[in-house]
Amino acid sequence: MIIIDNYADAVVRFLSNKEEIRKEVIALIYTMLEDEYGERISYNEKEAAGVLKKLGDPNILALKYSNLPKKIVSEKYIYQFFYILAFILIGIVAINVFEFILSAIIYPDNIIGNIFTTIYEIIGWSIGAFGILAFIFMMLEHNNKEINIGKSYNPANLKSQKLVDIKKRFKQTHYSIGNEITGIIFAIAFLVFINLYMDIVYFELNNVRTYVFNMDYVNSTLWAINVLGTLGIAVSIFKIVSREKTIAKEITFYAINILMTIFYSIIFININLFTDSFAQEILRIPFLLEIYNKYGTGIIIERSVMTLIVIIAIFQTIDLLINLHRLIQMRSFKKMNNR
Amino acid sequence: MREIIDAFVLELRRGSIIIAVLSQLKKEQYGYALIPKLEEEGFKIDQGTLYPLLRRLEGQKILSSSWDVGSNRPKKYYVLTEFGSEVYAELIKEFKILSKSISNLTEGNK
Repeated sequence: MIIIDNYADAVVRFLSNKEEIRKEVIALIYTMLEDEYGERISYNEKEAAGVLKKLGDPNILALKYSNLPKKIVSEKYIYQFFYILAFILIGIVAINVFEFILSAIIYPDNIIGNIFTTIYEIIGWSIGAFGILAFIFMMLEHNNKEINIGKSYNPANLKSQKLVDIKKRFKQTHYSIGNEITGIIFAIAFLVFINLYMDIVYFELNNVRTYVFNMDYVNSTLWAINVLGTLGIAVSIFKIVSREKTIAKEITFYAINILMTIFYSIIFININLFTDSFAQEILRIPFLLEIYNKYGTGIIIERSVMTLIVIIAIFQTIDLLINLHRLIQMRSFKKMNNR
Repeated sequence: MREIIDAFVLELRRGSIIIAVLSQLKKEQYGYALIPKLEEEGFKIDQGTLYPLLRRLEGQKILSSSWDVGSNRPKKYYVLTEFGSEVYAELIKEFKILSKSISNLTEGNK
């Protein structure tokens, strides 16, 4: 019965060992129904709702199954509190790390000082966020007179945890053929370009020809570029053949991606854009001129690329974490449906 | 005054609920069947408290459980483990000591 399934799903939503507890809760509900209305093959929604009402708010039942502390925020909202807090803390860390990277680029002489400032700021902001969030939750609860015992909930209004968009779920847990084909095309184009046409990218200023790519560097690492490029294509083909995402695949591909990002970034660190002749043109922009005068050219390229690597790595890590979360969720979802 | 006394009694009973539950599980029982038995003896416990408690006791290896899938609907049965029986016996011993201490104290006050 949907109403019972929804209730059991709501209880186990944030718990580990979902399958066993869910089974136990459903068994309990049917025992209560038998006790109340006698042993029958089926019961109607109204009867089930009555029993669920008696059993109380699923969040409170869930909390009794767990050992979470429940002092600052009441049982009913403790999970929401921790969830929101977790997101805020991740945000605080991300913002501060980003700020640190930026300041390391602009003020490279003061990196050690900035590390300490960043740590202090993360700790300070986190404590502040915890306090403010706890205060908001306490105020919300203060205004809700029916919060403590499960009188405020209506079993019929519980949202289904199972009614998910199957298409969306499939998309989230399978590799996209379109993305992989695009990746393969780009990888092939990149390898062809690096191997055959790299020397067509140059600029001429005052009759001096400068190749954008550092030919010596690229030629000496060409074998590695080709191996990694081919590996990237192989990974994409593998994703097309075996489309279902798994935790092992995600972690392996993440490691390969990070490795490729770092390696290819090195090529860009060795780029020849800021030669003296080219610099004359581009440094008409006052902001760039100021940085150029202060730090020279190498450091601008190096730090820009390093920043880019860090940003890409952060995004790839977030993507990995989201995918792992979905896969773990999907695994328990499948187990629940196979029961 | 009655309200205050009732609240104290409830607290006393709540403190000894684990002994009451364990006392009923020398033989295999399913969770819900315990509720009326305990209630008969004045231990009021709701399902939402009893089931997580049984689960916790199972996690502590005091109880073991098995699913009976033979009937129309599956039921989970609990029983004391060997370790659980030892814990139960110790708890009874402690409870008797406590009860004797209280008797001594209250009778001494007479």
